[in-house]
Amino acid sequence: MAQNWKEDPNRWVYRRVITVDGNFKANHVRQKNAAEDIWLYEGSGMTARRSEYESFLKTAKESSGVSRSAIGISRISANPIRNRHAKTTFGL
Amino acid sequence: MMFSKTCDITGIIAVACARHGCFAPNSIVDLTRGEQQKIADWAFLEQLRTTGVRPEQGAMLIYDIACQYFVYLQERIGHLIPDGLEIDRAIGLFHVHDHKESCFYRFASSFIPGSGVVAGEILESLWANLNTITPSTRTATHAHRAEIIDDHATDSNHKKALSMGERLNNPISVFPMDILASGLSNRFIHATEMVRLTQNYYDQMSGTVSASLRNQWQKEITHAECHRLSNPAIMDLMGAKEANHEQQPNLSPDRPECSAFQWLTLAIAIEEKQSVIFIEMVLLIVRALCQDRHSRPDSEVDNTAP
Repeated sequence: MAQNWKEDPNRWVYRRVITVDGNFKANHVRQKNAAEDIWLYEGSGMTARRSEYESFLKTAKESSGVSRSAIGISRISANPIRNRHAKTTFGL
Repeated sequence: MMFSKTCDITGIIAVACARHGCFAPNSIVDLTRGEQQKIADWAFLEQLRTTGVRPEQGAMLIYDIACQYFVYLQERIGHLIPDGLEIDRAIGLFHVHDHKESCFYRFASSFIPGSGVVAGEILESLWANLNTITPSTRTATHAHRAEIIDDHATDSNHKKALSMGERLNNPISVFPMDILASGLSNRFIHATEMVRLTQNYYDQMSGTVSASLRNQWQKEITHAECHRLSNPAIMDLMGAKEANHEQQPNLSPDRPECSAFQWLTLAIAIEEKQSVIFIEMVLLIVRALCQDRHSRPDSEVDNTAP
């Protein structure tokens, strides 16, 4: 990166643009006789380090926030399109 | 199985760069009960930390439910965000249409100055690859599962890093996924072409309104864009104001989008009518044939006899 990037007239190109999304297909079934896990490289890749993550969750605030209906989202399912199509067909 | 007792982890949340589609280190986290905001908070904070975002750079977060997520963001993690970091927010261009209309003007990345042409749905295409892998880890141990996900996410990043400079023979493709897969230099060519087309289009459009009106619109939009971070509702002026037509007929004459929308609605209505008429027609023909059969049993016998 250039040394004088702060003077660049197009400062916006340095802005970090990130996407956050959830995936509910990557779930995990509770194991009855879970063996003691052995972690080879925990937290050194893309997945989070458990101790930090869990200690954050213990102290983190969770705002009740605004309900989904208040902002106009009626569904959180992964297949909302199907419901919508049901309304737009011609009643065949 | 999403909320049932059989699952101890119901899914994951990940953070990826919206431009390159690379996963951010240390920020794929497990969900235990739905998509709680504090989990997204952690992923976001970790991304800021591990990718070394400087406060002067600024950050923009694109999230399906950003309109709701940002309401209390400062109260939740304001003390953990680096001082002076300006955080902008947007909703991906696919999910924004599932929200109410005002969210489109307030949070669609198309209306955010400096966000570039970014859909903000890059993770959906990364999920498509990951969804073929994660089901096999449903009954694995936690460590095994996390490390398989880790391997594949890292592999995805590695491949993207290798193909970043590649160019395809066909630089302008109609399929966005081709452009995405074809590396940065290819996207630069595409962007240059799109700038030319957009400028042409803009010149044609703006030629139809008077200069004074255009200046006024520009002034209004610039004002709204300056204040949108503190007051998202100010961006509502980007929408077509139907109510204002009567009060201020000079300020907002018919915009081309409005008439285009009306034409589209009309075309869809005509298409629906066409299918209804077609079905009615088929039913009538079938009925007529049935009646024909019943009323002329003799002729049928005649036909079959020889």
